[in-house]
Amino acid sequence: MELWLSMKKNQVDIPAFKRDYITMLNEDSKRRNPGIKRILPQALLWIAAAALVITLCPRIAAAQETAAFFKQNCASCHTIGGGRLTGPDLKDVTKRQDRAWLRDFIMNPQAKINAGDPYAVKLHEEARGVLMPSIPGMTAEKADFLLDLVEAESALPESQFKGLQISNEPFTPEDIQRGIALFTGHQRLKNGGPACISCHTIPGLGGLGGGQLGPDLTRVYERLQGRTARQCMALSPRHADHAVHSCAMPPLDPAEIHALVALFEDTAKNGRILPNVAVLNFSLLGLGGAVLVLVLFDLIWRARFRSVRRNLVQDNQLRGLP
Amino acid sequence: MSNYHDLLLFAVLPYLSVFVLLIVSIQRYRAQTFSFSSLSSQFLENKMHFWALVPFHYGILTVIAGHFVAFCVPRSILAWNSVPVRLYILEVSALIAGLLTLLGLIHMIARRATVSKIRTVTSKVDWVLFALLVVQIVTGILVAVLYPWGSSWYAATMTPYLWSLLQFNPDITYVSALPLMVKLHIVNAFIVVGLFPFTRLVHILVVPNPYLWRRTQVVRWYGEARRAG
Amino acid sequence: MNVRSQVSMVFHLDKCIGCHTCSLACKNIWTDRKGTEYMWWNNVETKPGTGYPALWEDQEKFRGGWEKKNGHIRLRSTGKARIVTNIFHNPHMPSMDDYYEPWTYDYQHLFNAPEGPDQPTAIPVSMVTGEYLNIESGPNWDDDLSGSPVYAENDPNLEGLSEEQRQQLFAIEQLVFFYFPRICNHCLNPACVASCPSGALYKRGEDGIVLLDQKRCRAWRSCVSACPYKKVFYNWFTGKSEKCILCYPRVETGQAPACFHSCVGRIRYLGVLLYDADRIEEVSNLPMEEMIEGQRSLILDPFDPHVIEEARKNGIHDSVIQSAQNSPVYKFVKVWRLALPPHIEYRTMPMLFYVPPLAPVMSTRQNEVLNSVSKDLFHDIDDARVPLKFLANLFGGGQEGKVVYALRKQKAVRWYRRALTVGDVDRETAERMLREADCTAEEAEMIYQLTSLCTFEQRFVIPPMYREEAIEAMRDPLEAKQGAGFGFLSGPRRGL
Repeated sequence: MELWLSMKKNQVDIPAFKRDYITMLNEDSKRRNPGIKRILPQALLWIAAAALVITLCPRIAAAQETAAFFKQNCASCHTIGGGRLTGPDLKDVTKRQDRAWLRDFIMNPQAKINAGDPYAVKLHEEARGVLMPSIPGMTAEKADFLLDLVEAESALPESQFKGLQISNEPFTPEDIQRGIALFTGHQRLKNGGPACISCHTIPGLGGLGGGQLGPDLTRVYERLQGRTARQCMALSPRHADHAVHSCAMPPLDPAEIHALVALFEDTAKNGRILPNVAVLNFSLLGLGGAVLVLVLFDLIWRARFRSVRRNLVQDNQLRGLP
Repeated sequence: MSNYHDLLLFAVLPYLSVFVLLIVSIQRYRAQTFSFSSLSSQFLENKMHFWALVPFHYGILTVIAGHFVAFCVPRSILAWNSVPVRLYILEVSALIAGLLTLLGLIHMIARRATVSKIRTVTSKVDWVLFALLVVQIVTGILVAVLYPWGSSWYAATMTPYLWSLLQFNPDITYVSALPLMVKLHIVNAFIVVGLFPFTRLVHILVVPNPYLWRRTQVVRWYGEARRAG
Repeated sequence: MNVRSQVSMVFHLDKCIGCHTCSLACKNIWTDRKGTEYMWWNNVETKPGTGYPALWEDQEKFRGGWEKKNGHIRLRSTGKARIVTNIFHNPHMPSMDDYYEPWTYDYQHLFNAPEGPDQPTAIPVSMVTGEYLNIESGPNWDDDLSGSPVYAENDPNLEGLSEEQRQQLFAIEQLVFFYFPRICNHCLNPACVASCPSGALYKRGEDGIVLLDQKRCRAWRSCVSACPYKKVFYNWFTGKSEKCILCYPRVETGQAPACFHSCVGRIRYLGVLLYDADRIEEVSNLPMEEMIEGQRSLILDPFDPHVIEEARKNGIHDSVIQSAQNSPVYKFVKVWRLALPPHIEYRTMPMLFYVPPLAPVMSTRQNEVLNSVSKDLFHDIDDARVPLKFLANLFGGGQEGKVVYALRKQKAVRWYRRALTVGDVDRETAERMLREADCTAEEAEMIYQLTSLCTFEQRFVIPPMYREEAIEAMRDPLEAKQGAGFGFLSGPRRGL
C-alpha cells in the first residue's frame, strides 16, 4: 500500500541525509492542525468536478425500459394471459376499462378505492383486500407507456409476461421433506439465490430459527390461500406477501414451489406457534463469545508490559523503611 | 421524493465518497506525508489501551473481512450456510466480532474522555470519527440481531448492489426497500469512506506490508546507490 | 570483504564527573520541542542504579535486543510474524510512567498568589496536560545513588554477585558509584532498524549513523521496545519516534557532536572505524563469550594495504581512510583493547565503547596498615569496591577477562607515569607492571597522551564532508525560515 501511494519510489533530488535534518529544523511545537486547510481547496475543487461528472453521468438516472419496469414492478402480481395472481390477469385490460381510468388507478390505487369507485372496489375485493401499492416514481407518462406495453403484449399469442404454469397435484410427504430441505438450504435453489431461511422463519426449525428480514411465514398458507402462494412465488418471491422488501431473487422453479407450498401447508396444519427466543439466544451467544474472546486475549498477552518503574518503587520503598 | 433521496444516498454518495477518498488521500500523501501516522497514544497510557485497541482492531478487521468475502464469493458463503448449524456458527462468530469491536470502541471513547494525557492528543476530528464509528457499529450489530441472517441475504441484496456500483451502473432497487437500519448502516459506511482521508484513519493506507519481505537491516546511501544490504 | 566506515565513539568512564553538561547541550539543541520533553538522547546514569527508563537493562521486562534461538538470532520483542499480531498494542512498550511526566513550574503563582499566611510556591505543572502534577520521577532520579534501596540495589548488573558482595557494595563506608553517560550506540546490527515495520529507521551507508526518517515513521512503536538501550523515544505529540542523530549536521560540517563538544571531563572520543559489513551477521551469531573478540575482528586495520584497496573499491574517500588511521577510537578499541562495548550480549554490536572505570584505589587497608604496593601488584583490581562481576555484566558480556585486561593496563599506565613524574614507585616495578599488563612503555606513553593531554583535534577526528555534494548546506538558511524547508512542501505537522 505504502509503495503504491508513494508513486515516486525514492526522491533522489533531496539526499536522505538532508531530509531528516530538515525535518528536525522544521519541527514546530506550536499546536496547529493545518493539514486539512492545506488540502481542502484542492480537495473541494476535485469534489466539485466529481459531483459534476456524476450528475451528468446519464446511466445513473437512466430511465428503465418499460418492459423491464413491468417485470420489476408489476409482474409479481399480474400476468398477461397467464391467469390471476394476487392481481388480475391484465390481458386485454384496456378493452375492459377506459384508458384514462386505468392511468389514474395505476398512479394512485388507494385514491380510487377510497373514492368508492365501484370497479376499483370490486378489484380490491377480488384481491381479498390486498391493496395495490403505488409505485415510487410513477408518472402519467410512464403509466401510458405501461398501458401501451400491456396492449401490445395482449395482442401477441403468447406474452412474455404469461408467467410460469405450475402443477396442481396433491402434496405428498416427500414434497414436504423436499420443502424443508429447500427452506433450510440443504438443497440449493436452482436459481442460486439464498435459501428461504436467510430471511424467513417458520416454527420447528430449531437452533436459532430463521431470518427476520422477510416476514414470518408461519401463517403464509392461510394468508395467501394455497394456490395463490404458488402463483406468487412462481414469478418472484418478492412482493409475494406485499411486504415491500425487494430482493434480487430470480424466479423459483415450479417443482421447488410445489415442495415449498407443501411445507407451508403442512406448517399451517400441524405447526404450533413457538415463542420466539431465537433473537435472545443469538444475542446471548454473541455476548458470551465476545467475553470468551476477551479472556483469550488476556491469556495470549498475559506477559504484556504493564509498569516497571512504579512497581519497582512500590515494592522497594517499604523494604527501605526501618 | 424518497426515490430521489435513495438515488442521492445510494447512487451518488458512494461515488462521491470513493472519489474524495482517492483524491484527498493521494494529495495528502504527496503534500503532507509527515501527517501519515497511526498517532498511537499507547505511550501515554498502556493499560486501558490494551482493552480498547486489541478487541477493536481484531473485531473490526474480522467484520470488514467478512463483508469483503461475502461480496467476493457470495455463492461460497451460501453453500457454507446451506446447513443451518454452519449458518448459525458463521452468524454468531460475526456477532462476536461485532460486539468485540463495540466493546473496544467503548473503551477507546472512555479512555479518550477520562485520561487527561490522552485528551491532550485528541482532536475534534477524532470525536467526529468516534461518533460515526459508533453509529456504524451499533447499526451493524442491530442489523445482525434484528434482521438475521445477513450472511445469506447479503448475497441477494448487497452483493449485486455493490457490483452494480462497481460497474458504474448503480441499481438502487436492491437496497431502496431494505429496512431503515440497514440503509443507515450503508449510508454511514459511505460517509466514513468519504471522511477517511481527513482523519487518522489514513494509517490504514500505510499498513507496513513491505516489512514481511524486506531485508532485516536497512542501509541508505547518500550518493549514488551502492546496494549491499 | 565489504569495507564500510563508521563514525564511532569511546567514552572514558574514569574521567566522567557526572555533570550532565552533555545532556543539557543535547536537550537545548534537539529535544526542547513539544512531545520531546521527556527525551534524553544523551543522559548520564549513576551506576549502580536503574538508569533511564528505570530498569532498562532488564530485558525480561523490556524485551529489547536480539536473542539466540535454535542457533540463529532473532528480535526478542517483535519477530516478523508477531509484528502483525502485536501492531495494535505493543506488548513490550514502556509507557510515560516508566520514564517521567515532564513538568515545568507555575511561576506566575509566585507573583499572583493572593496574600496569605504562607510563602507562595511555584507549583509543578505537567508539560503534557498542563495540569498540576505530583512529581514521581525524573530523568536522573537516582543520581549519585539517591534512593539507593529502591534503585541502586535493583541494578540488573548486580546479578551474579554474592549476597556478601552486595551488602559490602551498599555498606555506608563502602558506598561506591561511577557515572555511565549514554547516547545511541549507532549499532552495527541495530535492533531498532530491524524491527521497524515501515522501514523508517536506517543506517547511513557512509558513516553508519542510525537515523529515523520522520516522513516514513508511522508510529508502530516497534523500535522503542526493540532497542535494548532504550534510546529510541516516541514523540507522543507528532506520533513519530525520534532518536540521537549523532549531531550529523555538525559532524558533516566537521564539528564534534554537541555532547562531545561540551564534555567538561573530556571523556569523549570520536573517530572513524573501518569494518567488514559482510561478517556482521556471522559475528552477531557467535556464542556470547566470543562476541567481544568477534566484534573487534570486524574492525579492520586502516593501515593494511589490502583493506585500503577494498575500501577504495567501495567508494570510501581517501580522507575518510586517513581519518580512520588517526582515529582515537581505533586505538582504544583495537590497538590498546581498553574500550569495551556496553552489554554486548544484546547482540546489536554497539559502536560506542567504554573504557571501564578504575575507581581509583591508591592503597588498601590491612590490619590498620595502609599498603600501597604489594607483591601482587594488581590485587586491588580484584578487591575493588566496584566488584569486577558488576563491571563484567556491564561491559564484558558477563566475562571478567576483558574487563580485567583493560583495568590492569590502565593501572599499569598510571604507575608507570607515577614512576616517571612522582617517583614514589621505582621504574623496575612500573615496568614489571607494564609487562604483566601486556603493555610497552611507548604504548603507555600514547595511552597517557590520549587520556590526559589530548587536544580537541586528537579527541575528535572527523572526516571532512564532501561539500560539493551538500548543495543544501550552501543555501542561506534564512531563505527557508518559517517556510516550507527544503524537502517539505509544508512543514511537519501532527496529523489529524
